[in-house]
Amino acid sequence: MLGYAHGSFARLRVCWPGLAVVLIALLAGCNLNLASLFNPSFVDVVAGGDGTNQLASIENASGHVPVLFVNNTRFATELTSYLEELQQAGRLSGIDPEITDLRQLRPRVRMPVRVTFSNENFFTFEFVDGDGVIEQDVFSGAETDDAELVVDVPTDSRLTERDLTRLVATCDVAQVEIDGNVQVFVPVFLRTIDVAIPDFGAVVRTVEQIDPPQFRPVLADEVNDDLTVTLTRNYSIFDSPAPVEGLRCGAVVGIVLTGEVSVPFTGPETDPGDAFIAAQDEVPGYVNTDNTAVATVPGRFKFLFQAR
Amino acid sequence: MLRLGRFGVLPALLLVFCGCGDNASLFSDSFRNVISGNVVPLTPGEPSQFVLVRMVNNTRQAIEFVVTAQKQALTLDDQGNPVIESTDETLRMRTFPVETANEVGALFDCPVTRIGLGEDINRPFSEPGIFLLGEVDDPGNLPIGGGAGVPSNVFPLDSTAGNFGCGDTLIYRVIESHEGTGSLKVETFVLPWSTQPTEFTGPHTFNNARIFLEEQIVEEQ
Repeated sequence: MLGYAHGSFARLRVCWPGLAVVLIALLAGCNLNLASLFNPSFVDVVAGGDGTNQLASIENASGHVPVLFVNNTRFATELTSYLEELQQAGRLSGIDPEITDLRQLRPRVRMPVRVTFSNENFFTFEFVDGDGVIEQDVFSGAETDDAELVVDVPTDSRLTERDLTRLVATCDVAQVEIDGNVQVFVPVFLRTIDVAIPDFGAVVRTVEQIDPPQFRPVLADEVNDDLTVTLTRNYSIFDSPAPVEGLRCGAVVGIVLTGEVSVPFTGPETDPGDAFIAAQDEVPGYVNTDNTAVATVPGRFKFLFQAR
Repeated sequence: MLRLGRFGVLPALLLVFCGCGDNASLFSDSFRNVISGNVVPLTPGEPSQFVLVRMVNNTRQAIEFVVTAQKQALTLDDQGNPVIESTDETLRMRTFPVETANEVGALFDCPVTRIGLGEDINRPFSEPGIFLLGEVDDPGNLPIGGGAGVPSNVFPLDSTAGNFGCGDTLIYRVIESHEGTGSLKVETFVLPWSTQPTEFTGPHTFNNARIFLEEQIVEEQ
């Protein structure tokens, strides 16, 4: 219906329906962030709360965004071989009975994730996946008839908690990102060895510290201003996990972690009290002056984010 | 006869060209899916081989849902006799009393025999099915503890009894009610995939999820 707007200038013929459409189009923002004007809460205002949900006693979701985690990590060959020896010595627990080959083991991974919605609300959760194998008991010092457990294996409930690899968020999801450090469980004791080279006699190696099996953070390589790596850690800065943004309602977010869990190996201490350790040419650990070896724990990884 | 005039043509052109990018729609996908559907699926559908469980928190507290999917398979024992082996998959998922973050979902692979709340779904009236985490303002600062456990007081859903099937969406909603334990009440809904459209203008969410997972398995091999 045409109308007339009167003003101090020339009379202007206005198409009121057209004007309304123009206003709505501008407010809709052409799928820019202004489109949030038409989010479900706005729909409730327009439709009176039950415009299209009149038959359901609960509102249908507007759509879903599944967030999926795939743990494609493995134990390095050297570490797997050591785990096999531990298993033969009866010092490895937490193995799934269905696993016949330790090369099938999947390292235990924790990945904190944050899902942010278009209304700026968010929630955080943690993906957990992998086998909770763990080395049992270690002895240090001279062997006695009553060998005592010197280092207690900590009880970490995160080894036995339920896995979570799939989560479904409701639209509209604005961003999915890793929220904090990804952590990988190193299932063996790590020895810090002090090497003393006397003026006369053989080199003496002593245990300075034994770190129990525990979750270790996955850290980026350290680089200088030229982006040259100064200390190799666990993933390249060029493989850093970046937030997934601009998600369409109904999209699927996939997070894949690949790589190997590995630890440095070094010769054991001189005259270890533990017969098992004494029989090893090398054990998990490092010399206390080898900072490079320390930095490589718990291994080398790569993140892959996909949205489809 | 409708006379548009040049002032009617302009808004019509705006409607046509107001794409500003790839999406030539005035409205978001989620809005259009609420109004008319057929944009993105609300149920996984049997081809995807998932069951979707939605957990909805309509209270003022953060709530952790403990959902267990029970799967039963026919196997042979050591003597070669057929036995039914039952395995449970339990997930603990937290929801927050703010819009959109008050809902979370879980995908279970088919076949699923029963789904319920609590670690032991055979005891819905005594086994804690939800945990109350209190009124929180910041989802990033949830209490470390597990909260107070409350039985769900709803029977588990059983696919053998026809309560649901592969591809359906199951919904557990917690509301505030003086009728329930801890002033909360759990309601159960089922959205059958057979009642839903099968063609969508947007992405086939759950089919894409299944394809993604299967691609990872192939890469492992």
